[in-house]
Amino acid sequence: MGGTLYGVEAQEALAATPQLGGEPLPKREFDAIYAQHARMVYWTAYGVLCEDGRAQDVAQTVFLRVFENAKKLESMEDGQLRAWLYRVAVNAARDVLRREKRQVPTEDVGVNIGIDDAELPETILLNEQSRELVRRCVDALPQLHREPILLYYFGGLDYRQIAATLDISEGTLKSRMSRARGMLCHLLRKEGTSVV
Amino acid sequence: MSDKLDQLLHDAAREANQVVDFDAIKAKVLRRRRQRMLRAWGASVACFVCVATALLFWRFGMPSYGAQAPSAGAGDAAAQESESADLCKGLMAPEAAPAPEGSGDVEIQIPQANDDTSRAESDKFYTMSGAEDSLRQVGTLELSEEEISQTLLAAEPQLVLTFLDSAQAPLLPPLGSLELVEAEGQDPVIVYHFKEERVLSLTQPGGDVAVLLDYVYLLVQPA
Repeated sequence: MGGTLYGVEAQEALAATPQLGGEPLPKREFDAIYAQHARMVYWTAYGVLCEDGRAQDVAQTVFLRVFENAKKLESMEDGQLRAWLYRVAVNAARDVLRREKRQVPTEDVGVNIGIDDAELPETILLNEQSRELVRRCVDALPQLHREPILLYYFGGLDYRQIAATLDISEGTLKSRMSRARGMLCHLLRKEGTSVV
Repeated sequence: MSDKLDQLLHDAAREANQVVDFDAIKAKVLRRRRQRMLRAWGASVACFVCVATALLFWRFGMPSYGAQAPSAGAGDAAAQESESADLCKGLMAPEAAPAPEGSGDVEIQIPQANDDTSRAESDKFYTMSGAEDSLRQVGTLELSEEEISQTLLAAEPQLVLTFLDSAQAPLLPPLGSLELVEAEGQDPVIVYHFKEERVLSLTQPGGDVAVLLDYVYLLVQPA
């Protein structure tokens, strides 16, 4: 990442201790932080709230906290910063839920849904309708499984980053992802007949 | 299946990320940040103004019609009053001394602040009420000692003028304060304080308060 970071050249940042991903970024300017983490923050909030408007509000709150904690964040490595943003986003989203006493609309997806290697219905087309269906199915996943799916596909993080952010092992993450995909297949098969 | 699902998810994610306006979110963040900074700045300024105002009032007292004289803790203003009182110590009668019969109310008749007909004039007059009820601020007197003498003695040769503490200080007082001293068996005396620097006392053998006050108004009223 180039450019100045709080007026400090990126070169200075490179001198810092390498973080989890080996990307030494002890100081960042807001634009750089936003460009790098906005998607992750938004989709983390979305994973809790399942609603675009509130997720955007939470994302704003999180990045305002970045300003408020600029000094503290300067000394953080990239992985630490990502984990901090994730925690702030989750907490802020849960605060929203608590305030509004709103239940996240989640379908009861059976826990015994196995990973099914069967083919998805051929009728599912890669069109707008099918993508919307996928979105709805992702929203219907339990949060434990929805979260890694959102961070991986929507947030653009890789397995290592997600595992570090969620503070779980990569093995656990892969297990959750596999299970989440199985649930999605199940849901899409159920819905598939209506998508033409 | 897995590839197809992956493809579906990637497509859905790409589309979803295109729909979400991250630039707009960022703009809102920056706007809210600016608003917070402005609010914080405004609060700081308001706080500073409040503190400064409080300090000014503490330092100089509250200038108002009929307001209490500066309190004991009001710094130099109180000290000045005290010194002023010392200068005319010999002329001052005990506060509790009864007013002579027939002399009427010892209240000095000065224009009221809310008197519309003499608004401009009333602005020149101040009352310093409180413990020293007879102490009045009459107005600005920018006359020399000689001018005062000429003005008053021309009006009433019987008037006894006494300039006390006529030191080297220039006689350009910003404000004078008037004190009426009445004691039984003595002629009324009006003492005009020029801050703590000078004291002019006016008296007239057998004269009354109203006459003396007229002389003072001769000095303080505009030509």
